[in-house]
Amino acid sequence: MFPFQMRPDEIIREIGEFNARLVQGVHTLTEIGDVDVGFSRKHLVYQEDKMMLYHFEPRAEKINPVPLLIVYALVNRPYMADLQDGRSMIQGLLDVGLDIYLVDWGYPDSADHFLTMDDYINGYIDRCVDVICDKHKLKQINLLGICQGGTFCLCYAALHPQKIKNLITTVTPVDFHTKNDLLSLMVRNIDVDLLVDTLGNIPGELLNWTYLTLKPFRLMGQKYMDLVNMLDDKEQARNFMRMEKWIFDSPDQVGETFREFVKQFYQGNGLVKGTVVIGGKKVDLLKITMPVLNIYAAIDHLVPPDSSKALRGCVGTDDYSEVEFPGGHIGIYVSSKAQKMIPSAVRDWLAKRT
Amino acid sequence: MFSGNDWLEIQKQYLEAFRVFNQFLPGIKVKPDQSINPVRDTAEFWWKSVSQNLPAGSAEFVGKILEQGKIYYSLGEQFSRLLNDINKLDKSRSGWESLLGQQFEDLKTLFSKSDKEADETLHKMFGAWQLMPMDTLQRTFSLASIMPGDFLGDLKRDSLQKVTDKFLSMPGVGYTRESQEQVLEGIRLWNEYQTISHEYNQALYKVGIGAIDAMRDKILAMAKEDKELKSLRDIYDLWIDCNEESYASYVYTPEFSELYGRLTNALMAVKQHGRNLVDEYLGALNVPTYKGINTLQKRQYDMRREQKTTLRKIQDLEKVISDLEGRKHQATPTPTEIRKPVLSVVKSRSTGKQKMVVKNIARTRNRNKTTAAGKKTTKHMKNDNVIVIKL
Repeated sequence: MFPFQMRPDEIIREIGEFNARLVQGVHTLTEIGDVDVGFSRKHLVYQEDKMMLYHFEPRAEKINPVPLLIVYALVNRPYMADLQDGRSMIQGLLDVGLDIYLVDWGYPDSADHFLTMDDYINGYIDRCVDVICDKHKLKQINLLGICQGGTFCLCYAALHPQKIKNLITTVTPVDFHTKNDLLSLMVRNIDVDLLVDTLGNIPGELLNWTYLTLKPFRLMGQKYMDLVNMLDDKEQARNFMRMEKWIFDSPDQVGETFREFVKQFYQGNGLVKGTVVIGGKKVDLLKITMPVLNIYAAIDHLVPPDSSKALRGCVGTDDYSEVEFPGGHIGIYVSSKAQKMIPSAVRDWLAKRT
Repeated sequence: MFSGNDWLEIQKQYLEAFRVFNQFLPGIKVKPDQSINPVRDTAEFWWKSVSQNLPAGSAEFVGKILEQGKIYYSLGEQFSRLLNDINKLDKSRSGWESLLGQQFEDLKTLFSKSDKEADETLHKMFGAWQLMPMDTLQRTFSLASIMPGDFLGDLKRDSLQKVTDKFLSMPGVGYTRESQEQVLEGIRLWNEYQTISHEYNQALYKVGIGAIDAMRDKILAMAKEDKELKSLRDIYDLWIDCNEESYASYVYTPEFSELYGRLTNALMAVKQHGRNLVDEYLGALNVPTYKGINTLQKRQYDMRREQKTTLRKIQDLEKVISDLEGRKHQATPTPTEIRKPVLSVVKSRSTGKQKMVVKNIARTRNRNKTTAAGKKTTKHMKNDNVIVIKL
């Protein structure tokens, strides 16, 4: 059968419709103004250099007595976990009765470029844990890591197991050499020493574009064509702009930490090989003996599911659980499906272990 | 201001002209000159007019949509022509397949040309190719560069090649020998980068060709499976799928990883060399250099780290002291738990000499209670925190 079931004039009419929607879309964009991000109410409880520790106001009557510290990645900004009302993992976790703290790394500049993973993990994260423990008069808290933040949490839990009651990792890379990991392939042959020695901090824009080039035609093209169809709806346009703001709100990466992370994790695959050394101490995942919940996304193009699932065979705990989210790397935090699934899964899992 | 309605009106006129124009060009082939697409040109004109009145974020945003719109227009143009041509045929299988094949061959020919017009046309068709890693690296590193603007982009391989051979064959001589060699090294590094960059572009060219082939094959496969393309948007989505597939088939290979690594490393080498040269000039002018600031920042970092470690130790000690004090206050003082040392003077029964004894009363009492023999008791007491000072 002849596959083109359209006439030339229909194509032209379609272009006309596209243009009309585009014109309407421009009107919509002029009317929606600035988009706000970060929905849940929170208070700054500790600050060190550019790092800030926030405590969220509770939203439920019955609260789990062990607080949950969320550690975000150094890439992009943590408000993705609290994007807007109804699209917020943090809001969901608060609603199910969890007491939430969040680490915000801020925007490092050139004066920060010597900070190492030791500073982040044994310094900032450890002091945040101490602050929360002191405040709640506890010896242990629960820890949840997001993406690279999850990798940091694994390192922290292996180095300070006595301080962590339960560990939750979400879309966290563990095995950095799975075959469908394009990010890993892209950095595998880069001379990271030369890169960091030359640039100092790694520009956030470079990371943005690197992520976009994983699927360039969809992420730089098709996505905007889809948007044209929803631009007549102000709320949908605002939602899209909010996500767009997050995608391109990308802090520079601290040079020395980037060097360590790429060399030890991406190039050396040291987390699964047991060769990662932070602050002079070897990171041995077998020392993670507390309960572990590993949540990964089935269609994650940034952290392939296999990379996250590799954790099962590496940790020393007997209490290991997995949750597969049927979506992508970002959808796990902002999609409506995730709002129903993730917070309740975390609550139930923690409730059995508190 | 040129409003959206004005644009739509003009666009209608253009579309009408386009349609009429198209009817009289049944056998038109794809040509580098694409200026006959009136919709795209008008859209661009409209955009220039309205973008000034949009907030910066929105303007950038709509700009991206419009970039995709141009691809949409170009696809529309290509396929309108194809359909016009096919309408002249009886739509027998071999007829339209042959036309389709020719259309895609023309596109491939165009893709292989390197002249400016072909570049522009391909940009309209491929869009995101202009945003490929190559361009990204250059743009980003230029942004981070100490040199103003995209200085890398202004140096063209062809023109540079003519002079590099001459320069590189000249030995440095005289008082400025060292700086001459630095310049030559810079040229050598740049030349190396350009060679790898060319290699990279060639690899992406193959990916582009792969996308064109994939599109043709998919359309032919759809015909066999009785599947339909019902709209321009369907064609656009298919085009995106083909590009992504072709791109993925290349980038998930060790060859890509190796080439991408070499490309980045070569560009970094150029940039680092340039920065070192500038540092030398700055040093000569007694202006702080990158190297000097780096040293300062490292020292400041080390001091700060040391200070934090010390502070932490002090806090730990304070906590220990506080815990000890808290324990002391919280404990209920029963006779058996009193640990406070007591200093007393005792007289020896056998010698009659006086001794100063520091002892724990509780333990002494315990021992006195449980042990009858005085000699044995004394021995135990000596082992249990009793200090005997002979006077």
